[in-house]
Amino acid sequence: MTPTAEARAAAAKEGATNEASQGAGPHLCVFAAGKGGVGRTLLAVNGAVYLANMGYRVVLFDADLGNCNLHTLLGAEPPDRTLDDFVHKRVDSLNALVVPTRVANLGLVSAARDPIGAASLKHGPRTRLFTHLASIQADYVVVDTPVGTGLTTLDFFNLAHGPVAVTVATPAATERLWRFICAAFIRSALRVGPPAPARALLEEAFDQSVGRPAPSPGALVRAARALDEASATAVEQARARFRPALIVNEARTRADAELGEAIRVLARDRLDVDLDVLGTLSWDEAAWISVSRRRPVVVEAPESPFSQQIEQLVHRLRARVEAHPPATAAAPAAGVAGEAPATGVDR
Amino acid sequence: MTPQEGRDARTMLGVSAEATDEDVRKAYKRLRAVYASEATYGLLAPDEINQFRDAIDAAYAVLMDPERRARLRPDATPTPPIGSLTLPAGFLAGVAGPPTPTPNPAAAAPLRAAARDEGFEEFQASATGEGGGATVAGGAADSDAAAGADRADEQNLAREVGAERGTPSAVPSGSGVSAAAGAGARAAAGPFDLLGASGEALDGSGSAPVALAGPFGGGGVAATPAHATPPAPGAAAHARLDLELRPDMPLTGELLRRVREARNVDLRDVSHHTKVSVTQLHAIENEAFQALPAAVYVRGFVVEYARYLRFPDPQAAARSYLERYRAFLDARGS
Repeated sequence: MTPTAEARAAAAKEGATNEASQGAGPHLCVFAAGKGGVGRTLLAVNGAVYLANMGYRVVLFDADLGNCNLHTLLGAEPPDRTLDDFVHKRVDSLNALVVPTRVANLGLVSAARDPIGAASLKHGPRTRLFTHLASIQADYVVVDTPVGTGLTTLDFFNLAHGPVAVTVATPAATERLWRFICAAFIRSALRVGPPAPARALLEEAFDQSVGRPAPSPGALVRAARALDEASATAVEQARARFRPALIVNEARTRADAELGEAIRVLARDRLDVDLDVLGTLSWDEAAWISVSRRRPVVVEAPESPFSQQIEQLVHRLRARVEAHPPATAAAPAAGVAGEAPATGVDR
Repeated sequence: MTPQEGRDARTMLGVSAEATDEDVRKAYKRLRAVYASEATYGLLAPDEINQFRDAIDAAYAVLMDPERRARLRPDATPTPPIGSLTLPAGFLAGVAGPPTPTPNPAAAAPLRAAARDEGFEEFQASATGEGGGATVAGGAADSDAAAGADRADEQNLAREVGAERGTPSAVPSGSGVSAAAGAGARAAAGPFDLLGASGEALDGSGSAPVALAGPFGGGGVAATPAHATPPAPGAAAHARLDLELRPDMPLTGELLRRVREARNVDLRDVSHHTKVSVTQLHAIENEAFQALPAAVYVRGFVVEYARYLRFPDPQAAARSYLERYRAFLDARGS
């Protein structure tokens, strides 16, 4: 887990790049899941710790309002300043919320001490939060989102340079995953400000998906083609840009290990979604023990299979994040349907 | 296969026009696995999955069409045997396809009935002389075995039967070599000693081995005496005959019995390996449905039996058998 000189050099260069290009925000990695208990928080924490150990300045961002526990996994006390202070405008900058952790280079933005019931952000605070994300002084912001298909989660997911959906190999988890992917796509297509007919189509799809499978991206593209050319283009471009990554956690059997590939093929053939399988983490007792000790696995058991797999995943995620800058990180780009993915705030 | 059918089938399986049989086979297997995995949960309804499964089966059958195979592997290229199963003379009745010239003048026409290892929609008997033919004609039992093993195509049953079990997978035919073949056959051993059966037949009847053609199964099996061409320089001939098992051909008890007998396997051997009683194997072969247990068990029996006989896709084979068994149960009203 000791960062190599090479990694430090790379990190330093990275920092310099970021500072040089004023306004360029941190890389945003978002971990989300359709179903709870699949290891999303565990992956976010350990991924962030690993990045910090590499020498990057990392902020772990707990967006799981009303259910936050990042500080617990890091073995820290709930901080005094939390996201609630930002939402209620008691602080102006997200940087004011970053508290140091026991891990060097790793800061934490906690959502602890939020009022019970604060499960989701309203539109106003959410927009303000997203606008401010880019101003966080860090190389990487790693976000742990609330479970499910809430708007906060979906928007964080679509905002990310590296959106990662986490699942485990159970029918319940895959069922939620498909729903999550379809919902995230609809939301991402809405984000680019499509023409009115497409917007109506997408909003209807979103609203009608309560309790049933959401229409697939492919189906929405086909439906948009029946509207008008601009709508078709907007939805098709959103589809082409929508590239979630997937991590399968807690794989116990060979079939579990092959689940990621099966999901990729099904996403491609059935949803018209290009999904990258970042990797599979095998079930590891060490991970479970570390969680109960409130210590990051990569610190507690760096030689464990889990830690070594995390290492590989982080490297793949980094490559992905740096190769795929987001559409926009700061604000929803209303009305720019034809916008290229690279025209974001990043670099 | 029309060009359009081919395109559709390739799209279905996600393979390019340049895909080899092996590519197609792999793609098919992958897709089958994907649609059998729990990744489908929450995305596809069971009937959608079945529909798709049928569609990829059909696409696979189109792409593995022997005509296409023939086009992909034109004339001179020695066609690796798809698998080997030798049937005794007179085992099948019918007509053979015409012999086609072989590039190997020394080659006689060893008889091979070959089975695809996937899908079971195709059963190919080829009597090509290629490559090892000369060696075979040399006549030594061990070289015969070696030639058989050498020719074993990686994608075929011969690999599984021949290489893994170490039994020869081809038998030479024709007046020049049949004696040697018989010797080779008797030297080999094992439940899948395919040579044994034909060797006996050769010696017993004195007739040439048969080459197979036409549909296989349901009594539609066709065969004819091979063109027993003596290895004469310049007068090369080989009989390459395709015997196809189409998906719509049902697996019958009769077919199981024929294949078993062709492989010279006793029901007791089958029972020993499959742990299915001889009585029940007998009932399966005779389709004495009233004597069989619940469908769920019969399915297991048939899969095991078909697997033991090295049917390419025991699961698919069992499905067609079970369809008729269920029809029987339905008719009986149980």
